[in-house]
Amino acid sequence: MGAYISVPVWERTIAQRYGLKGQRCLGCGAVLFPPKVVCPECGGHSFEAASLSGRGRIYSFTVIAGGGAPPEFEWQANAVGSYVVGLVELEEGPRIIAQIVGVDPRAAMAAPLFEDSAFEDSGGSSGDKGKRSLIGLPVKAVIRKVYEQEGVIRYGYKFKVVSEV
Amino acid sequence: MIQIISCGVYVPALRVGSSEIAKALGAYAGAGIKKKALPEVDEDAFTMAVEAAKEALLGMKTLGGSGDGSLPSARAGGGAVEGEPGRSATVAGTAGTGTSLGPGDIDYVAFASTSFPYEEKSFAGALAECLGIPKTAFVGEFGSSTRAGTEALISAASALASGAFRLALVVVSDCPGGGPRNPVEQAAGAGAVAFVLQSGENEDRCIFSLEGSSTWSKESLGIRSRRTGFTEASDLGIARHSRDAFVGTCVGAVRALLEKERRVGRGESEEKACEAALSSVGSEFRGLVATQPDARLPLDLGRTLGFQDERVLPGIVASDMGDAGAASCLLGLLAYLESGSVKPGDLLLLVSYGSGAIADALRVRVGRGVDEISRQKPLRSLLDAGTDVDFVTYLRVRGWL
Ligand SMILES: [Zn+2]
Repeated sequence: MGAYISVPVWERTIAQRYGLKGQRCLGCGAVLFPPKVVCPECGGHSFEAASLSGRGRIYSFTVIAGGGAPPEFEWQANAVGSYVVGLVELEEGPRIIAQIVGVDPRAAMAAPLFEDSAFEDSGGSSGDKGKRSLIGLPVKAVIRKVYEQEGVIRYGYKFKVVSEV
Repeated sequence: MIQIISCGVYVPALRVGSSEIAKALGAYAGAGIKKKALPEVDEDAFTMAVEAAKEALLGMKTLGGSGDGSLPSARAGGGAVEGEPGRSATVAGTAGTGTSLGPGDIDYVAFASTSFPYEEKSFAGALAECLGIPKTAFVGEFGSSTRAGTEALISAASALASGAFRLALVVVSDCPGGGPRNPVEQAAGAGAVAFVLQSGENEDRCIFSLEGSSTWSKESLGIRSRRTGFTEASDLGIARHSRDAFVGTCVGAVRALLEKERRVGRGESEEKACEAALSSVGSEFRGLVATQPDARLPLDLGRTLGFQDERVLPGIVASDMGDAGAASCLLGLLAYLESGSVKPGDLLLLVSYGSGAIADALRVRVGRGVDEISRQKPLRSLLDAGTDVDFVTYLRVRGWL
Protein backbone atom coordinates (compact mmCIF):
# COMPACT_ATOMS: atom_id res chain seq x y z
CA MET A 1 0.00 0.00 0.00
CA GLY A 2 1.40 3.37 -0.94
CA ALA A 3 1.07 6.58 0.95
CA TYR A 4 1.31 10.19 -0.12
CA ILE A 5 3.07 10.97 3.15
CA SER A 6 6.78 10.16 3.04
CA VAL A 7 7.14 8.10 6.18
CA PRO A 8 10.95 8.48 6.45
CA VAL A 9 10.71 12.27 6.12
CA TRP A 10 7.79 12.34 8.57
CA GLU A 11 9.75 10.44 11.18
CA ARG A 12 13.03 12.25 10.57
CA THR A 13 11.41 15.64 11.09
CA ILE A 14 9.56 14.84 14.32
CA ALA A 15 12.29 16.29 16.50
CA GLN A 16 12.24 19.57 14.58
CA ARG A 17 8.47 19.79 14.38
CA TYR A 18 7.79 18.89 18.02
CA GLY A 19 10.91 20.04 19.78
CA LEU A 20 12.50 22.67 17.51
CA LYS A 21 15.67 20.62 17.39
CA GLY A 22 18.20 22.30 15.09
CA GLN A 23 21.97 22.12 14.71
CA ARG A 24 25.03 24.22 15.40
CA CYS A 25 27.76 24.40 12.78
CA LEU A 26 31.06 23.23 14.26
CA GLY A 27 32.88 25.36 11.68
CA CYS A 28 31.44 28.80 12.35
CA GLY A 29 29.02 28.34 15.24
CA ALA A 30 25.92 29.35 13.26
CA VAL A 31 22.69 27.82 14.53
CA LEU A 32 20.68 26.30 11.69
CA PHE A 33 17.03 25.41 11.58
CA PRO A 34 15.70 23.29 10.05
CA PRO A 35 18.83 21.11 10.03
CA LYS A 36 20.85 21.27 6.80
CA VAL A 37 23.49 19.18 5.07
CA VAL A 38 25.83 22.09 4.33
CA CYS A 39 26.20 25.26 6.40
CA PRO A 40 25.03 28.24 4.28
CA GLU A 41 27.35 30.52 6.27
CA CYS A 42 30.71 28.74 5.92
CA GLY A 43 30.13 25.68 3.77
CA GLY A 44 31.00 23.40 6.67
CA HIS A 45 29.30 20.10 7.08
CA SER A 46 29.99 19.09 10.68
CA PHE A 47 27.25 19.86 13.15
CA GLU A 48 26.14 19.23 16.68
CA ALA A 49 22.54 19.08 17.85
CA ALA A 50 21.13 22.34 19.18
CA SER A 51 17.77 22.91 20.80
CA LEU A 52 16.09 26.18 19.98
CA SER A 53 14.31 28.09 22.72
CA GLY A 54 11.27 28.77 20.54
CA ARG A 55 11.50 32.45 21.42
CA GLY A 56 11.87 35.06 18.74
CA ARG A 57 10.33 38.08 17.05
CA ILE A 58 8.11 38.55 14.05
CA TYR A 59 10.39 39.72 11.25
CA SER A 60 7.63 39.98 8.67
CA PHE A 61 4.18 38.60 8.05
CA THR A 62 1.39 38.19 5.55
CA VAL A 63 -2.28 37.27 5.74
CA ILE A 64 -3.52 34.31 3.73
CA ALA A 65 -7.15 34.79 2.81
CA GLY A 66 -9.70 32.24 1.59
CA GLY A 67 -8.73 31.27 -1.95
CA GLY A 68 -5.03 31.97 -1.38
CA ALA A 69 -4.57 29.03 0.95
CA PRO A 70 -2.63 26.00 -0.31
CA PRO A 71 -4.85 22.87 -0.52
CA GLU A 72 -3.69 21.40 2.78
CA PHE A 73 -4.69 24.60 4.59
CA GLU A 74 -8.10 24.96 2.96
CA TRP A 75 -9.86 23.50 6.02
CA GLN A 76 -8.45 26.28 8.12
CA ALA A 77 -9.30 29.04 5.66
CA ASN A 78 -12.79 27.58 5.29
CA ALA A 79 -13.33 27.65 9.02
CA VAL A 80 -11.91 31.03 9.96
CA GLY A 81 -11.60 32.91 6.64
CA SER A 82 -7.98 33.94 6.85
CA TYR A 83 -4.87 33.37 8.91
CA VAL A 84 -1.51 35.00 9.52
CA VAL A 85 1.78 33.56 8.30
CA GLY A 86 4.94 35.08 9.67
CA LEU A 87 8.65 35.08 9.11
CA VAL A 88 9.96 34.65 12.63
CA GLU A 89 13.50 35.50 13.63
CA LEU A 90 14.45 33.12 16.39
CA GLU A 91 16.59 34.23 19.32
CA GLU A 92 19.38 31.93 18.11
CA GLY A 93 19.38 33.51 14.64
CA PRO A 94 17.46 31.38 12.15
CA ARG A 95 14.45 32.87 10.39
CA ILE A 96 11.61 30.45 9.81
CA ILE A 97 8.18 30.62 8.25
CA ALA A 98 5.22 29.58 10.38
CA GLN A 99 1.70 30.58 11.25
CA ILE A 100 1.13 33.24 13.89
CA VAL A 101 -1.80 32.23 16.11
CA GLY A 102 -4.04 34.22 18.39
CA VAL A 103 -4.03 37.41 16.33
CA ASP A 104 -6.88 38.82 14.31
CA PRO A 105 -5.81 38.79 10.63
CA ARG A 106 -7.97 41.81 9.86
CA ALA A 107 -6.46 43.84 12.66
CA ALA A 108 -2.99 42.71 11.56
CA MET A 109 -3.64 44.03 8.06
CA ALA A 110 -5.21 47.27 9.31
CA ALA A 111 -2.33 48.21 11.59
CA PRO A 112 0.48 50.40 10.23
CA LEU A 113 3.35 48.16 9.23
CA PHE A 114 6.19 49.77 11.14
CA GLU A 115 4.87 52.70 13.13
CA ASP A 116 4.87 51.98 16.85
CA SER A 117 6.29 48.56 16.18
CA ALA A 118 8.03 46.75 18.99
CA PHE A 119 11.45 47.34 17.45
CA GLU A 120 11.27 50.98 18.59
CA ASP A 121 9.43 50.06 21.72
CA SER A 122 11.42 50.60 24.88
CA GLY A 123 9.34 47.91 26.52
CA GLY A 124 6.61 48.00 29.10
CA SER A 125 4.14 49.56 26.69
CA SER A 126 0.64 48.34 27.27
CA GLY A 127 -0.87 49.87 24.15
CA ASP A 128 -3.79 48.29 22.34
CA LYS A 129 -2.26 45.27 20.61
CA GLY A 130 -4.90 45.40 17.90
CA LYS A 131 -3.49 48.68 16.66
CA ARG A 132 0.14 47.70 16.82
CA SER A 133 2.05 46.26 13.96
CA LEU A 134 2.87 42.61 14.35
CA ILE A 135 6.37 43.29 13.13
CA GLY A 136 8.88 43.10 15.93
CA LEU A 137 6.50 41.56 18.47
CA PRO A 138 7.99 38.81 20.65
CA VAL A 139 6.64 35.32 20.07
CA LYS A 140 7.02 31.85 21.46
CA ALA A 141 6.62 28.52 19.71
CA VAL A 142 3.51 26.45 20.39
CA ILE A 143 2.37 23.08 19.05
CA ARG A 144 -0.76 23.21 16.91
CA LYS A 145 -2.51 21.11 14.29
CA VAL A 146 -1.03 22.08 10.94
CA TYR A 147 -3.22 19.93 8.70
CA GLU A 148 -4.62 16.46 8.26
CA GLN A 149 -3.62 14.16 5.46
CA GLU A 150 -4.51 10.53 4.84
CA GLY A 151 -6.12 10.31 8.25
CA VAL A 152 -2.99 11.55 9.98
CA ILE A 153 -3.08 14.75 11.98
CA ARG A 154 0.11 16.65 11.37
CA TYR A 155 1.16 18.64 14.41
CA GLY A 156 3.90 21.21 14.28
CA TYR A 157 5.11 24.53 15.56
CA LYS A 158 3.34 27.82 15.15
CA PHE A 159 4.05 31.05 17.01
CA LYS A 160 2.05 32.97 19.54
CA VAL A 161 2.60 36.61 20.46
CA VAL A 162 3.69 36.99 24.06
CA SER A 163 4.07 40.08 26.23
CA GLU A 164 7.49 41.69 26.52
CA VAL A 165 9.62 40.11 29.22
CA MET B 1 4.52 12.14 51.15
CA ILE B 2 3.42 12.68 47.56
CA GLN B 3 4.01 16.32 46.73
CA ILE B 4 2.98 18.43 43.80
CA ILE B 5 5.98 20.69 43.24
CA SER B 6 5.05 22.50 40.05
CA CYS B 7 1.94 23.13 38.00
CA GLY B 8 1.00 24.56 34.63
CA VAL B 9 -2.29 25.55 33.12
CA TYR B 10 -3.73 26.40 29.73
CA VAL B 11 -7.09 27.82 28.68
CA PRO B 12 -7.78 28.62 25.00
CA ALA B 13 -8.26 32.34 24.37
CA LEU B 14 -11.69 32.39 22.72
CA ARG B 15 -14.89 32.68 24.80
CA VAL B 16 -18.52 32.08 23.88
CA GLY B 17 -21.05 33.69 26.20
CA SER B 18 -23.99 31.53 27.29
CA SER B 19 -26.22 34.47 26.35
CA GLU B 20 -24.93 34.19 22.74
CA ILE B 21 -25.93 30.53 22.67
CA ALA B 22 -29.26 31.12 24.42
CA LYS B 23 -30.05 33.92 21.94
CA ALA B 24 -29.35 31.69 18.94
CA LEU B 25 -30.91 28.45 20.18
CA GLY B 26 -33.60 29.79 22.48
CA ALA B 27 -32.28 27.76 25.39
CA TYR B 28 -29.08 27.04 27.25
CA ALA B 29 -28.29 23.85 29.12
CA GLY B 30 -25.23 24.73 31.25
CA ALA B 31 -26.43 25.71 34.72
CA GLY B 32 -24.40 28.58 36.12
CA ILE B 33 -22.08 28.83 33.11
CA LYS B 34 -21.57 32.45 32.05
CA LYS B 35 -19.11 31.74 29.26
CA LYS B 36 -17.12 28.84 27.92
CA ALA B 37 -13.63 28.55 26.53
CA LEU B 38 -13.44 27.63 22.85
CA PRO B 39 -10.34 26.02 21.31
CA GLU B 40 -9.10 27.49 18.03
CA VAL B 41 -9.51 25.34 14.89
CA ASP B 42 -5.96 24.09 15.24
CA GLU B 43 -6.17 23.23 18.94
CA ASP B 44 -7.17 19.96 20.54
CA ALA B 45 -6.59 18.01 23.75
CA PHE B 46 -3.05 17.20 22.65
CA THR B 47 -1.95 20.75 21.79
CA MET B 48 -3.49 22.13 24.99
CA ALA B 49 -1.74 19.41 26.98
CA VAL B 50 1.63 20.45 25.53
CA GLU B 51 1.03 24.08 26.55
CA ALA B 52 0.07 23.27 30.14
CA ALA B 53 2.88 20.73 30.53
CA LYS B 54 5.49 23.20 29.23
CA GLU B 55 4.41 25.68 31.89
CA ALA B 56 4.69 23.02 34.58
CA LEU B 57 8.18 22.09 33.41
CA LEU B 58 9.23 25.76 33.30
CA GLY B 59 8.01 26.15 36.87
CA MET B 60 10.11 23.16 37.84
CA LYS B 61 13.22 24.83 36.44
CA THR B 62 12.88 27.79 38.74
CA LEU B 63 12.92 25.41 41.68
CA GLY B 64 16.13 23.79 42.69
CA GLY B 65 19.41 25.56 43.16
CA SER B 66 20.16 25.27 46.84
CA GLY B 67 19.61 21.60 47.28
CA ASP B 68 15.84 21.92 46.92
CA GLY B 69 15.99 20.75 43.38
CA SER B 70 17.45 17.39 43.99
CA LEU B 71 15.56 14.20 43.73
CA PRO B 72 15.25 11.71 46.51
CA SER B 73 17.99 9.19 45.98
CA ALA B 74 17.16 6.71 43.29
CA ARG B 75 16.68 3.05 43.99
CA ALA B 76 19.28 0.70 42.65
CA GLY B 77 18.85 0.41 38.93
CA GLY B 78 16.25 3.16 38.79
CA GLY B 79 19.23 5.30 38.14
CA ALA B 80 20.69 7.91 35.96
CA VAL B 81 18.92 9.24 32.94
CA GLU B 82 21.17 8.70 29.99
CA GLY B 83 22.30 12.05 28.75
CA GLU B 84 20.78 12.50 25.35
CA PRO B 85 21.71 15.58 23.37
CA GLY B 86 19.55 18.52 24.36
CA ARG B 87 18.14 16.83 27.40
CA SER B 88 18.90 17.66 30.93
CA ALA B 89 20.60 14.75 32.57
CA THR B 90 20.90 14.17 36.24
CA VAL B 91 23.13 12.06 38.37
CA ALA B 92 21.39 9.43 40.35
CA GLY B 93 22.01 8.72 43.97
CA THR B 94 23.39 12.13 44.82
CA ALA B 95 20.44 13.61 46.62
CA GLY B 96 21.15 16.87 48.32
CA THR B 97 23.83 18.05 45.94
CA GLY B 98 21.55 20.60 44.36
CA THR B 99 21.05 19.15 40.90
CA SER B 100 18.17 21.06 39.37
CA LEU B 101 15.31 19.18 37.83
CA GLY B 102 14.50 19.07 34.15
CA PRO B 103 12.32 17.14 31.71
CA GLY B 104 15.10 14.54 31.51
CA ASP B 105 14.39 13.56 35.10
CA ILE B 106 10.76 12.63 34.51
CA ASP B 107 10.23 8.88 34.37
CA TYR B 108 6.43 8.65 34.63
CA VAL B 109 3.97 10.44 32.36
CA ALA B 110 0.19 10.16 32.71
CA PHE B 111 -1.99 11.89 30.13
CA ALA B 112 -5.74 12.08 30.76
CA SER B 113 -8.62 13.26 28.58
CA THR B 114 -12.05 12.26 27.32
CA SER B 115 -11.26 13.83 23.95
CA PHE B 116 -7.98 12.37 22.72
CA PRO B 117 -7.39 13.16 19.04
CA TYR B 118 -7.31 9.44 18.15
CA GLU B 119 -9.36 6.54 19.54
CA GLU B 120 -6.48 4.20 18.77
CA LYS B 121 -2.96 5.67 18.90
CA SER B 122 -1.58 6.88 22.17
CA PHE B 123 -0.37 10.45 22.39
CA ALA B 124 1.38 10.15 25.73
CA GLY B 125 4.61 9.39 23.86
CA ALA B 126 4.18 12.34 21.50
CA LEU B 127 3.62 14.50 24.56
CA ALA B 128 6.89 13.28 26.04
CA GLU B 129 8.61 13.93 22.68
CA CYS B 130 7.38 17.54 22.62
CA LEU B 131 8.60 18.11 26.16
CA GLY B 132 12.03 16.50 25.91
CA ILE B 133 11.12 13.69 28.30
CA PRO B 134 13.27 10.56 27.78
CA LYS B 135 11.86 7.88 25.50
CA THR B 136 12.43 5.39 28.31
CA ALA B 137 9.87 7.04 30.61
CA PHE B 138 6.71 5.12 31.42
CA VAL B 139 3.91 6.79 29.47
CA GLY B 140 0.21 6.06 29.76
CA GLU B 141 -3.22 7.44 29.01
CA PHE B 142 -6.36 7.66 31.07
CA GLY B 143 -9.72 8.21 29.40
CA SER B 144 -13.24 6.84 29.23
CA SER B 145 -14.79 9.34 31.62
CA THR B 146 -14.37 12.74 33.22
CA ARG B 147 -12.89 10.94 36.21
CA ALA B 148 -9.74 10.32 34.11
CA GLY B 149 -7.90 13.32 35.60
CA THR B 150 -7.84 12.08 39.19
CA GLU B 151 -7.32 8.55 37.89
CA ALA B 152 -4.07 9.77 36.31
CA LEU B 153 -3.11 11.67 39.47
CA ILE B 154 -3.75 8.67 41.72
CA SER B 155 -1.83 6.37 39.38
CA ALA B 156 1.18 8.69 39.42
CA ALA B 157 1.04 9.03 43.20
CA SER B 158 0.93 5.24 43.57
CA ALA B 159 3.83 4.82 41.16
CA LEU B 160 5.94 7.27 43.16
CA ALA B 161 4.91 5.77 46.49
CA SER B 162 6.05 2.35 45.28
CA GLY B 163 9.56 3.68 44.87
CA ALA B 164 9.79 2.42 41.31
CA PHE B 165 9.55 5.94 39.86
CA ARG B 166 11.08 9.23 40.90
CA LEU B 167 9.43 12.13 39.16
CA ALA B 168 6.00 12.12 37.52
CA LEU B 169 4.20 14.43 35.12
CA VAL B 170 0.40 14.32 35.07
CA VAL B 171 -1.28 16.22 32.24
CA VAL B 172 -5.04 16.49 32.05
CA SER B 173 -6.43 18.19 28.97
CA ASP B 174 -9.98 18.09 27.71
CA CYS B 175 -12.30 19.65 25.17
CA PRO B 176 -15.58 17.74 25.25
CA GLY B 177 -18.19 18.46 22.60
CA GLY B 178 -21.13 17.34 20.51
CA GLY B 179 -23.44 18.74 17.86
CA PRO B 180 -24.73 22.33 18.00
CA ARG B 181 -27.98 21.35 19.71
CA ASN B 182 -26.41 18.81 22.03
CA PRO B 183 -26.75 19.88 25.68
CA VAL B 184 -23.24 18.52 26.32
CA GLU B 185 -21.93 20.83 23.57
CA GLN B 186 -23.71 23.86 25.00
CA ALA B 187 -21.78 23.58 28.24
CA ALA B 188 -18.57 22.23 26.67
CA GLY B 189 -15.51 24.29 27.47
CA ALA B 190 -11.82 23.43 27.24
CA GLY B 191 -8.66 23.60 29.24
CA ALA B 192 -5.59 21.77 30.45
CA VAL B 193 -3.65 21.46 33.67
CA ALA B 194 -0.34 19.76 34.42
CA PHE B 195 1.36 18.76 37.64
CA VAL B 196 4.87 17.58 38.48
CA LEU B 197 4.87 15.15 41.41
CA GLN B 198 7.54 13.64 43.56
CA SER B 199 7.76 11.68 46.75
CA GLY B 200 9.52 13.91 49.26
CA GLU B 201 9.54 15.59 52.62
CA ASN B 202 10.82 19.06 51.75
CA GLU B 203 7.79 21.24 52.35
CA ASP B 204 9.08 24.52 50.98
CA ARG B 205 8.48 23.65 47.36
CA CYS B 206 5.25 21.76 47.91
CA ILE B 207 2.12 23.35 46.40
CA PHE B 208 -0.07 20.60 47.77
CA SER B 209 0.34 17.02 48.84
CA LEU B 210 -1.94 14.03 48.45
CA GLU B 211 -2.73 12.36 51.75
CA GLY B 212 -5.03 9.65 50.54
CA SER B 213 -7.70 8.70 48.08
CA SER B 214 -10.67 6.41 47.75
CA THR B 215 -12.77 5.27 44.84
CA TRP B 216 -16.41 4.25 44.68
CA SER B 217 -18.18 2.83 41.66
CA LYS B 218 -21.55 1.56 40.58
CA GLU B 219 -23.30 0.94 37.28
CA SER B 220 -25.38 3.98 36.45
CA LEU B 221 -26.92 5.72 33.42
CA GLY B 222 -26.01 9.24 34.44
CA ILE B 223 -24.33 11.62 33.25
CA ARG B 224 -23.34 11.59 29.54
CA SER B 225 -21.81 8.76 27.53
CA ARG B 226 -20.32 8.27 24.06
CA ARG B 227 -20.30 4.91 22.32
CA THR B 228 -17.36 3.68 20.27
CA GLY B 229 -17.36 5.19 16.81
CA PHE B 230 -19.51 8.16 17.79
CA THR B 231 -18.22 11.71 17.92
CA GLU B 232 -21.10 13.12 19.94
CA ALA B 233 -21.62 12.49 23.61
CA SER B 234 -25.23 11.94 24.54
CA ASP B 235 -27.09 12.43 27.74
CA LEU B 236 -30.47 11.17 28.82
CA GLY B 237 -31.21 14.76 29.69
CA ILE B 238 -33.00 13.90 32.93
CA ALA B 239 -31.60 16.55 35.24
CA ARG B 240 -32.90 14.88 38.38
CA HIS B 241 -31.26 11.56 37.49
CA SER B 242 -27.97 13.25 36.56
CA ARG B 243 -27.91 15.08 39.85
CA ASP B 244 -28.63 11.92 41.84
CA ALA B 245 -25.98 9.93 39.96
CA PHE B 246 -23.42 12.69 40.47
CA VAL B 247 -24.10 13.41 44.13
CA GLY B 248 -24.70 9.75 45.07
CA THR B 249 -21.49 8.48 43.48
CA CYS B 250 -19.40 11.32 44.89
CA VAL B 251 -20.78 10.82 48.39
CA GLY B 252 -19.93 7.13 48.06
CA ALA B 253 -16.28 8.01 47.38
CA VAL B 254 -16.16 10.54 50.23
CA ARG B 255 -17.63 7.98 52.62
CA ALA B 256 -15.02 5.45 51.48
CA LEU B 257 -12.24 7.98 52.11
CA LEU B 258 -13.43 8.69 55.63
CA GLU B 259 -13.97 5.02 56.36
CA LYS B 260 -10.40 4.31 55.32
CA GLU B 261 -8.90 6.95 57.54
CA ARG B 262 -11.09 7.05 60.59
CA ARG B 263 -10.70 4.42 63.26
CA VAL B 264 -13.94 2.93 64.34
CA GLY B 265 -14.49 3.36 68.09
CA ARG B 266 -15.01 0.42 70.43
CA GLY B 267 -18.59 -0.77 70.46
CA GLU B 268 -19.41 1.54 67.60
CA SER B 269 -20.79 0.06 64.42
CA GLU B 270 -18.72 0.87 61.36
CA GLU B 271 -21.71 2.25 59.57
CA LYS B 272 -22.55 4.54 62.46
CA ALA B 273 -18.96 5.74 62.72
CA CYS B 274 -18.97 6.49 59.03
CA GLU B 275 -22.19 8.48 59.22
CA ALA B 276 -20.69 10.46 62.06
CA ALA B 277 -17.57 11.09 60.00
CA LEU B 278 -19.65 12.15 57.03
CA SER B 279 -21.55 14.60 59.17
CA SER B 280 -18.28 16.24 60.25
CA VAL B 281 -16.63 16.35 56.83
CA GLY B 282 -17.61 19.99 56.45
CA SER B 283 -15.59 20.90 59.53
CA GLU B 284 -12.58 18.72 58.75
CA PHE B 285 -11.99 20.15 55.29
CA ARG B 286 -11.61 23.83 54.52
CA GLY B 287 -13.35 23.48 51.18
CA LEU B 288 -14.67 21.18 48.48
CA VAL B 289 -13.62 20.96 44.83
CA ALA B 290 -15.53 18.71 42.41
CA THR B 291 -15.92 17.80 38.75
CA GLN B 292 -17.95 20.43 36.92
CA PRO B 293 -20.31 19.31 34.14
CA ASP B 294 -21.91 22.65 35.02
CA ALA B 295 -21.36 25.23 37.73
CA ARG B 296 -24.20 24.00 39.94
CA LEU B 297 -23.57 20.31 40.64
CA PRO B 298 -20.53 20.94 42.90
CA LEU B 299 -22.73 23.25 45.02
CA ASP B 300 -25.39 20.50 45.25
CA LEU B 301 -22.72 18.06 46.38
CA GLY B 302 -21.40 20.61 48.86
CA ARG B 303 -24.83 21.12 50.43
CA THR B 304 -25.24 17.36 50.78
CA LEU B 305 -21.87 17.09 52.52
CA GLY B 306 -22.34 20.13 54.74
CA PHE B 307 -20.21 22.72 52.90
CA GLN B 308 -21.69 26.18 52.68
CA ASP B 309 -21.62 27.58 49.13
CA GLU B 310 -18.82 30.03 49.91
CA ARG B 311 -16.52 27.08 50.67
CA VAL B 312 -17.23 25.52 47.26
CA LEU B 313 -17.35 28.63 45.09
CA PRO B 314 -13.57 29.38 45.07
CA GLY B 315 -13.07 26.08 43.22
CA ILE B 316 -15.73 26.58 40.57
CA VAL B 317 -14.26 27.36 37.18
CA ALA B 318 -17.07 26.12 34.90
CA SER B 319 -18.82 29.47 35.33
CA ASP B 320 -15.98 31.18 33.45
CA MET B 321 -14.75 28.44 31.08
CA GLY B 322 -17.53 25.87 30.69
CA ASP B 323 -17.21 22.15 31.23
CA ALA B 324 -13.53 21.22 30.93
CA GLY B 325 -14.31 17.51 31.29
CA ALA B 326 -11.61 15.48 32.98
CA ALA B 327 -9.62 18.65 33.70
CA SER B 328 -12.43 20.53 35.46
CA CYS B 329 -11.89 19.38 39.05
CA LEU B 330 -8.11 19.84 38.83
CA LEU B 331 -8.48 23.29 37.29
CA GLY B 332 -10.96 23.92 40.11
CA LEU B 333 -8.36 22.84 42.65
CA LEU B 334 -5.86 25.25 41.14
CA ALA B 335 -8.48 28.02 41.23
CA TYR B 336 -9.11 27.28 44.91
CA LEU B 337 -5.37 27.45 45.66
CA GLU B 338 -5.12 30.75 43.75
CA SER B 339 -8.12 32.28 45.48
CA GLY B 340 -6.25 33.28 48.62
CA SER B 341 -8.84 31.54 50.79
CA VAL B 342 -6.55 28.70 51.89
CA LYS B 343 -3.27 28.71 53.80
CA PRO B 344 -0.54 26.09 54.16
CA GLY B 345 -1.77 23.19 56.26
CA ASP B 346 -5.44 23.49 55.26
CA LEU B 347 -7.23 20.42 53.92
CA LEU B 348 -9.29 20.42 50.74
CA LEU B 349 -11.60 17.63 49.64
CA LEU B 350 -11.18 16.91 45.92
CA VAL B 351 -13.89 14.76 44.33
CA SER B 352 -14.06 13.67 40.73
CA TYR B 353 -17.00 12.13 38.96
CA GLY B 354 -17.04 10.14 35.75
CA SER B 355 -19.86 8.39 33.99
CA GLY B 356 -19.91 4.73 34.72
CA ALA B 357 -20.38 5.88 37.38
CA ILE B 358 -17.12 6.16 39.29
CA ALA B 359 -15.96 8.78 41.74
CA ASP B 360 -12.59 9.43 43.41
CA ALA B 361 -12.24 11.37 46.65
CA LEU B 362 -8.81 12.77 47.53
CA ARG B 363 -7.48 14.37 50.68
CA VAL B 364 -5.43 17.38 49.58
CA ARG B 365 -3.13 19.16 52.05
CA VAL B 366 -2.24 22.70 51.04
CA GLY B 367 1.53 23.29 51.01
CA ARG B 368 3.77 26.32 51.38
CA GLY B 369 4.00 26.72 47.62
CA VAL B 370 0.40 27.99 47.70
CA ASP B 371 1.63 31.50 48.51
CA GLU B 372 3.44 31.74 45.18
CA ILE B 373 0.41 30.34 43.33
CA SER B 374 -1.99 32.79 44.94
CA ARG B 375 0.37 35.63 44.08
CA GLN B 376 0.84 34.65 40.43
CA LYS B 377 -2.73 33.44 39.76
CA PRO B 378 -1.82 31.63 36.49
CA LEU B 379 -5.37 30.33 35.91
CA ARG B 380 -7.25 33.48 36.87
CA SER B 381 -5.09 35.57 34.55
CA LEU B 382 -5.90 33.23 31.65
CA LEU B 383 -9.62 33.24 32.47
CA ASP B 384 -9.64 37.04 32.55
CA ALA B 385 -7.75 37.34 29.26
CA GLY B 386 -10.37 35.75 27.01
CA THR B 387 -11.67 37.21 23.77
CA ASP B 388 -15.45 37.01 23.31
CA VAL B 389 -16.74 35.74 19.96
CA ASP B 390 -20.28 35.69 18.58
CA PHE B 391 -22.36 32.63 17.76
CA VAL B 392 -21.48 32.60 14.06
CA THR B 393 -17.74 32.74 14.78
CA TYR B 394 -18.25 29.93 17.30
CA LEU B 395 -19.90 27.74 14.62
CA ARG B 396 -17.10 28.51 12.16
CA VAL B 397 -14.36 27.71 14.64
CA ARG B 398 -16.12 24.42 15.40
CA GLY B 399 -16.12 23.74 11.65
CA TRP B 400 -19.92 23.66 11.35
CA LEU B 401 -20.33 26.49 8.85
ZN1 LIG C 1 29.12 27.22 9.42
